[in-house]
This record gives sequence, structure tokens and C-alpha cells, in this order.
Amino acid sequence: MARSESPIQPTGWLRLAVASVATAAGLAALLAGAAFALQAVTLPRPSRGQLIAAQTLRRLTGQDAVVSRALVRGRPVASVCVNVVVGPLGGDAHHVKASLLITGRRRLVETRFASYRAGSTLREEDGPLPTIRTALAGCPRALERRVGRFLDDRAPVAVDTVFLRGVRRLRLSFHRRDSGLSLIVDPRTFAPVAVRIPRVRTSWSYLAPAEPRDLASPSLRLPRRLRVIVKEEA
Amino acid sequence: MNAWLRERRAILTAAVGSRVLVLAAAAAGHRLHWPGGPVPVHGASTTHTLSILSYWDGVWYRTVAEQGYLLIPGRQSDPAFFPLFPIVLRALRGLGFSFLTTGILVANGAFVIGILAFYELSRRLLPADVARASALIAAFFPMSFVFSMTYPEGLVLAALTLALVFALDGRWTLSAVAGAAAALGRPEALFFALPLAAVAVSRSRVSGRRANGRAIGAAFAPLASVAAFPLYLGWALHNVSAWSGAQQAWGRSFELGGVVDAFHQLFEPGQTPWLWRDAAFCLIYLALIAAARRVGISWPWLVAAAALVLLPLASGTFMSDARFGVLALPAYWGVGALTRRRIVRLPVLVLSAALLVAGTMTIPLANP
Repeated sequence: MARSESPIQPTGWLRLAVASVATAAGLAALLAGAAFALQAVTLPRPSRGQLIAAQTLRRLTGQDAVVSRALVRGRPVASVCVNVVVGPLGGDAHHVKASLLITGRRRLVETRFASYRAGSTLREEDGPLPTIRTALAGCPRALERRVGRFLDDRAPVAVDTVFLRGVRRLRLSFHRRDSGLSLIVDPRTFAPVAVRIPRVRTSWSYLAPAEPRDLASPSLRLPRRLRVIVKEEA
Repeated sequence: MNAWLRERRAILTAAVGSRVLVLAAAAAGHRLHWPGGPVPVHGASTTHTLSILSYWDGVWYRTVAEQGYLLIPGRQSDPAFFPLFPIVLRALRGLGFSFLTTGILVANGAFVIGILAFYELSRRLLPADVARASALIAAFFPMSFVFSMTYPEGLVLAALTLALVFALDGRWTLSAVAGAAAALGRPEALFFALPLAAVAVSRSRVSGRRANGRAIGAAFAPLASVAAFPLYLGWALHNVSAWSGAQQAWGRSFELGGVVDAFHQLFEPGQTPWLWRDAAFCLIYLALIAAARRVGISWPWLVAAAALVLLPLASGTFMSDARFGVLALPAYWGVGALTRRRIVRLPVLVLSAALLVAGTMTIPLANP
């Protein structure tokens, strides 16, 4: 019985398949290259300062607690700041992320929306001062918000190299119409090591990650009534 | 040319007429200060007569066009938005219009081209009366107001439908370019690699050797184009995963249990009631995609459209599914199949137009 045979030999099929795959891959690679080039040529790129600031922000989002040292009216002042969750507050049943700042005997709780002095209860504090205090104390959430707002607005970020106690660091200077912030960061890890708010005319606050002994401090123990609404994050 | 236009006059009139309706509704909303309330997104323009068409994601596309991308860890940031629309806005800066005006002109112009191309596509796959009904309803579809916003959907509709028309005509290089452009506008265009591949396979017997390779290339073009975006972000931001990082901050991380979470979210206290609009449209799209099977639309098209509607639910929410679904082309064929008869089509068109106006005027209330 006669059998119909393909006019194309096996080697012909192979050559056809290789040619097809090569053409397809070539066309796809050409288009990917064109798409990349189109983006690279037309869209502006962020500045080096903005990229370093974004890395610093990434670092801050992973930080839970920080200790800071600053000179206030010529006297050294140390603070500890930890991430906490606050709620329920007043009629609001929700829990919100907050910073708990402890300076000596004073405790300050700061959320995105309000600041509270923590005594035996929480008392709301008005004005910009609590927010400035938490930023200067290097509270990760407060700094994160401040740096994030500058980046949201694409504020210019100047970068220069400085030497802090003989170690090379990067200084980031954020400027916007009515506000500014200076941060000194470690160029390897992008962790903030010092902070200053130029318009407030304060000195630099020097920051370091909190050690277990900092977090075991008796001043971090809140009164029982407050422990119900202010909880340290795991 | 005149004969070509005459034959498509009704489609062109519907496309332009529906855009006039949307622009008039947006202008009326601005003039009447209805609905009131605060501007939903920080940085959105409020002075332009058509301001509401630039709300929500429009602000982010403008930021990318003006300043490029920047991933801001822990916050909602712009690498979540694909680059085609900002690239076009930036390229047309020289015309002297604001980004808002340019965005509206581009989006609406592209939509008109998209509807004409969709009609051409439908004619190649369906009987003439269904093709015509599908294109008419697509022009007035209730969620089609998003094609008039400063969003990339209009551009993507045009590029995607042209890619598919070119593929059906065997013009593979043009199809590849248009498919790549569509995928650079919205990643959902990737799903249509499936029907493109199906067309390529079915045509392979009649194509020559070189055309065969180009056909496969055209099917892979959207994938190649989508891949170019993270590569660009890797080069510009030193972060190849910036897109997925930004998506997470927008609550768009995909999980296996996401679909269940999406249903739970509907019933959570304090959720926006507009989520129900998205859920309702999700069901409508799925029903219409199923109806498209009645007119012989093949499985690759239906699977692509269903994936486009269903996959976003894996991120745990129905939010914006009504908008994502406007690119599920077989859904329009489904509605075309159901409204072949004029007596059915007319009331559906009137209802769609009314919902289109309502949808436009309520843009400030709900993220589409």
C-alpha cells in the first residue's frame, strides 16, 4: 500500500523550526529592547539623593526601636523610641500604628493623626512640637513619614559626604517651600545615624539601633491602664 | 475611502457621540459642583472644566510623565503604573497643552480608534450584525467612561484591537508592535497573547516559513514588552522588583486565598459600598463572556477575557474590577450576541448611555 510522505525531510523540519524560533526570539528581543529604550529616553530618572533617601526609607520601615542622644540647652539628653500600636482611642475602635517616645520620665505617644502625653492616661497634645520631638528622636515611624512626604512631593535632596567621628557618612538635605530635614546616613546600610531639622535650629541628634538593655529600661513599663491601649509591636 | 467611512459611519458616530456624552457629563458635574466633597486624591486639578476625568490614578500618571518613577518604600508610589501613557503625555508636551488636556485628548482619540478597530476585529470573527451591535454597545458601555479619563485604557484598547486585527490579517510584524505597545500600557494585555498564539497556530499552515516565526514572535511580543518594564525600573531605580513592591503598597499582592478574601471584604463593616459595583460588573463580564461562546468565539479568547476579569480578585479585593474588565473584548461580543435584534438593542443602548452618564458624574465618589 502506498504511503503519503511529507515533502519536507526531517532535517528540513529542524531547520524550519530553528529558523522560526530564531525569528520569534529576535522579534521579541527587538521589541523588548525598543520598549526599554523608549522608557529610558523619554522618562526622567530620580536623582541620586532621592534614590538614597528611598533606601533610607526602606531601612526605616524595618526598624522597630531606636535610641538617640542630643544636646538640649547644653545638656545631654537620651531618648528611646519604639514602635507601638494604639487603640481603641475615644469612640474609635480601630488600632493605629504609633511611636512611643521616652525621654527621662516623659512619655509621648504619636500617631499619624495626633500626639498624646502618656501619664496614667493619654492626654492629647496640640501644636507641632510633639511631631518635631519624635522626628528628632529618630522614631522610625516619624522619620519615615517625614522623609516619605518629601519624596511624595519629589522635593530635591542634596547629598554630600561628611566624616562623623572619622567615619565616612552621607548627609541628605531635604528642602521644600516651608520645611527641611537633614539626615546623616551610613553609606553601606543607609541607616540614619543623625538627624536635624534646620528650621527648628536644634543641634544634631545622634541615633543608634536600640539594644535589648535599652528596651528593658523600667521607663518603658507603662501603667496597667495604658497597657490596654498602647501595645508594643512584636 | 469614502465607502469605507460610509460603512462605518454608525460606529464612528457612536464612538464620538459617547465621548461627547462623557465629556458633557464631566463638565456638568464641574459646573453644578455635584457631587461635592473633598478632592479624592492629593494633587488633583480642580480648576479645569474636565478635572474629574484626571482624578484618582490620573494624578499618578501625570506624576510619572512630569517626574519619572520613584519607589517610596512603605507608601503608595508610582512604579505600580505602566509607562506607555506617561510616555505619550511627555512626548506630546511640545503641543503646548497641559498634561490634563493632552491626557484627555489622547485617551478619547485613542478610544475612537479603538472602537473602529474593535469593529474591524469583530467583523473578522462574527456575523456582521453581531459585530455592529458589539461595537455600538462597547462605545456606550456603562464603565467606558474610564476610556475618557487620563488613564491608559483608551490607548490600550486601540493598540490591543489593532494587534489582533493585524494578526488575523497575517500582518505579524505590525501585530507584534501593536501588542507590545498595548502591554506597555497595561499588563492585562498580556492575557491576549493566548488568542494571538491561537491565531498564529491556526495560520501556521498557510503562512510561509518566515511568517511562521514572526507569528510566534507576535504572540510573545506582549510578554517581551511587559518584561522591559521591570528591566527599566532596575536600571532607573536600581530595583528590578520595584513594580511588585509598589503593587504591594497598593494592596495588590496576589495570594491563593485572595478570591475568598475578596468575597469577605464585601461584607466587612466600614467598606465602601462601591465595591458592590465592582462585584456586580465582575459577574456581568463573566456572564457576557459566557454568552460570547454562543456566537462561536473560541476558547483562547474566552479564557483570556475571563482571566483578565478574575485574576485581580486573587489580590483579595474586587476593587477596580469593573475597570479592568473594560478590556475583556469577548464580553462585548457576548452583549452583541444578546442584542442582535434592534428591539432589544435600543433599550440596552439607552440604559447603557444613562449609566455611562451616572458613572462619569460619580467619579469623585469612587475610584473606578
